[in-house]
Amino acid sequence: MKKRLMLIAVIVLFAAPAFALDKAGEVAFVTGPVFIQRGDARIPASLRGPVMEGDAISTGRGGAARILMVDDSVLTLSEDSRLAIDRYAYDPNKKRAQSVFKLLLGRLRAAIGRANATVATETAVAGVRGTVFDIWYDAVARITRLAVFEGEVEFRNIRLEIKGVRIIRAGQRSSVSLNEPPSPPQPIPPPKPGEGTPGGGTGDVPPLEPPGGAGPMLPGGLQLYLTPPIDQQPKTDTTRVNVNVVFP
Amino acid sequence: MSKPVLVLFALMSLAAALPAAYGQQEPVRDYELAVTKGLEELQAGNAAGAAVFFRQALAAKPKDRNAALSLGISLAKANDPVAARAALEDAQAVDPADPRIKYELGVVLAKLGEQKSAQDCFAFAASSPLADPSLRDAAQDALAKLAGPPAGPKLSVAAGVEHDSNVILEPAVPVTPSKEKKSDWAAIVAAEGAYRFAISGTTAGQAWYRFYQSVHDELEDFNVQQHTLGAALRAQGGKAAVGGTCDFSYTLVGAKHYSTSNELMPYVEAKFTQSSTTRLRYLFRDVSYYDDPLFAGNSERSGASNTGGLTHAVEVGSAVLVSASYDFTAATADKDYWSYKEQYARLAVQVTAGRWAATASAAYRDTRYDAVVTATAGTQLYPEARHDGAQEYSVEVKRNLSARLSASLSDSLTLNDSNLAPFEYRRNIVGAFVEMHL
Repeated sequence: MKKRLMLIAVIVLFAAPAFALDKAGEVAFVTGPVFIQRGDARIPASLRGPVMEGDAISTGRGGAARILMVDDSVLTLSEDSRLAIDRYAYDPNKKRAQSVFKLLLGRLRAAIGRANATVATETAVAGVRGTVFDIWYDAVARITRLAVFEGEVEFRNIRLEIKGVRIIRAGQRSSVSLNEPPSPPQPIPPPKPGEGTPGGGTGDVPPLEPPGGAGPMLPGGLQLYLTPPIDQQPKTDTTRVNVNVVFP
Repeated sequence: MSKPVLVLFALMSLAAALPAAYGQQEPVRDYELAVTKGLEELQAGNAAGAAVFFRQALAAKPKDRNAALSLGISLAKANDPVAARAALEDAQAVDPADPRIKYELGVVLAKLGEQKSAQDCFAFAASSPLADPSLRDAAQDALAKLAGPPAGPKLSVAAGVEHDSNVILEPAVPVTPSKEKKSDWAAIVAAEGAYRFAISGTTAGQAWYRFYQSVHDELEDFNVQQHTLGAALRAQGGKAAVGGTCDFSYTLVGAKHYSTSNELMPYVEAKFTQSSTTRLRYLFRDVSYYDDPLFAGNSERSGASNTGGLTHAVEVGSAVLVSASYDFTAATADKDYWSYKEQYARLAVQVTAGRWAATASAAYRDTRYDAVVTATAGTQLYPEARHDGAQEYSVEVKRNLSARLSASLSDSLTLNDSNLAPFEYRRNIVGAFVEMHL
């Protein structure tokens, strides 16, 4: 009975003001191999293709995508990453969304718009509103790293029994290892002279590029600012072989 | 309650407990949103719309390298190279050593006709240790395109098949004996050997030999073999260029001497706007035709012609080139009824997309012959002088299979309307070719 009451509480609290949508967002930019897993179907991501609750977006080597959610949140997925949209509900009256994302692998930059959002990994949970942050899950080391560029992120272990919640503020970073509480927040290190990419810190946090930084490329080939492809070339004339003989 | 539901409850409680931050000043989030919408518009082909969002991104983060670069790329694609240059120079001021900014600036400077500065930018990008391999390759390609074909020899060979619905345009009157079958397949081989030489940094020349051979399936008497020797010279000075070509052709039909021609074509060219090129040309052509049993009276057409022409080409975005041209020709022949005045107008659109290129054109040719065709005894064969109006349509789709190999499919249709019924015809030529550059 108690379990049922709790379930009803969850439904009343979260389901009532939200509505199911035809789509939770759309693919706003895609480069390289990017796929959307929808049920049993594995669909190649295409520009302005819909992204729906329950989808999982994966990027291969050299792939990256920006997803624009209905609430104007922007999810930028780096290469070799996988993100599941576990829950997405949008209230058109309040123009707010409630969303739960799960970063299964790789790196995500989230610029959260009109939404109460959580981003979970295998080891950590980040709860946010109106925030811009990078979250990176290393599936080998089983560690989640976080860097916040704007707003605040409430950061904790995925396991509720592991106590310790930290507020990570703009300009700070932290990490959560398996079965450990979040590490104390530290400042995101400034770029090294001549490095061209801000971040470049050492220790347990990978080098990070704040949004709008001086260089689009992150060490290790990670690219979060997706620059338009190189497709402009000077024009040249073409020469065709033909013959001007008619009878007569 | 199941474990997933509990986890979901916990996650959402965590989010709900946070203070509402949305609605406060959020320049980084505004920046991310504007950049995302800009990239979306740009990838969807709406470069002008993309530029609006990249300007918003710059408003959120002034002097941001990435937004300025993307704004420059968008403006260049939207055919506004002046504004694109300003945006890219802003980006360059933030990061002077960035090879991508240099590359895009080179693209814009080339559009503006500043070839030397464009070359410097591409050379910087091609040699920068910060450039990734794809950027280095693109910069080297751009350098090669700006420089034109490299000095030295080159050889290209094209081969394919063609179906001509009307090989012999006028089977009975006035020169060609009637033949029942007029449509035929033909195998075509064309080759060009050329040698390019640079006279100075802005002046280059080229000499060439071209060979063409058609081998018909049935109409073997109409196999064409042509040998052409030619030379060209071109001098570039800022936004203007002058040049000229001359060539000599020797043509055999059915293995017999059919014609010999000489051509001389000087031209001047100017870029009055950043995205357009205008060329004014003059063409002198002198042709001698030779009689044989199949082409009796062929020599009556021998003579010279003078043509004045104008072509205006406009780039629409980075992938579309639209050109319009007009020519007027006055030709004189041994027999007045082969002399003519001709007006020719043509509109063409060329679209490139990656390895694909497509060209479509429509043209109208109005030809007024000077006199009524007469028989040997002086009897008029027709009541009036011939006056033709021909509609010409063509389309070609080409794909570059590799750096040296391309394949193409083409179709050209001519609908000739004449005041004299025997000269009316419809001709459709379908071709499939493979071209190799050695």
